[in-house]
Amino acid sequence: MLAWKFLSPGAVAPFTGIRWPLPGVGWMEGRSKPDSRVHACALEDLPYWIDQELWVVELEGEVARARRQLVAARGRLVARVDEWPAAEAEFTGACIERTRRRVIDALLAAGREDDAAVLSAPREPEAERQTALSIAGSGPSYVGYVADVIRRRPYPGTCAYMAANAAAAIGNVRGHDQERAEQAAWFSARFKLGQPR
Amino acid sequence: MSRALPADLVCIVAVERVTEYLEDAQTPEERTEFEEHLVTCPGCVIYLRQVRAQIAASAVLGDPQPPPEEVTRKLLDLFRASRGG
Repeated sequence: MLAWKFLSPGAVAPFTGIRWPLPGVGWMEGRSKPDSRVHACALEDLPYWIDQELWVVELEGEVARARRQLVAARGRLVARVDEWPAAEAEFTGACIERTRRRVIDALLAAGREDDAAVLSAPREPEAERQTALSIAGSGPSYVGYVADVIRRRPYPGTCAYMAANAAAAIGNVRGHDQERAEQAAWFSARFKLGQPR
Repeated sequence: MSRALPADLVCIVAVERVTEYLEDAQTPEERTEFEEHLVTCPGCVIYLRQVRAQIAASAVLGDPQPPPEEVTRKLLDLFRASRGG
């Protein structure tokens, strides 16, 4: 089965520090314990594990679905998605824009048309962040998420997480899941990814 | 009835789980929760790397010797005090 995996620079697993064999070199087996597995992502899992390198991986053996990831006995790198992380700013920009629109819709639903109009005006990121903080300070605290998402734009994984939190604050679990699905859809569309096959 | 969004792991809990993580003593669910936190928390990633480096550095030291009894007692007192007695 082909799936995807985020790794740190140099094809290094971000938390274990283990370097994956490059394409054509070999397989990565599960870790120290006999029942351990390698982990990879289906499309919908990608936004939870963002890192510097995005790879197509081949998983071998029985592939199981776990919380926000796929697990298999072993896997190997097939090819790198070269356009990532150069497209990071596009991704975080989309997270910011969706959050801004959600917040504006929530302001309008709350009858705060003036605040919605102020937040709708185009600004540079830092000015927009200050504007959001100012509005949040006047009452609707969820507007502060716009500032949070802007502040985290150098860190795509955190930015995506904050965008999902903003969506949850406004639309509960459904909002959260919708935002995460939109983030996954961004990867799918931008890099022409499909479901694992 | 709506599904509840699970509470995120917070740093103060995450740092307490670093040893279990490094010793591979977590359940798969606990491991995933811990690593999900790391994705969004550069501070905890740094802490994890520090602990890992500390373990690697300790491995090249000589045979461990128990500290003097007085030192052990003071350290335990401080630890208990940090946990509210």
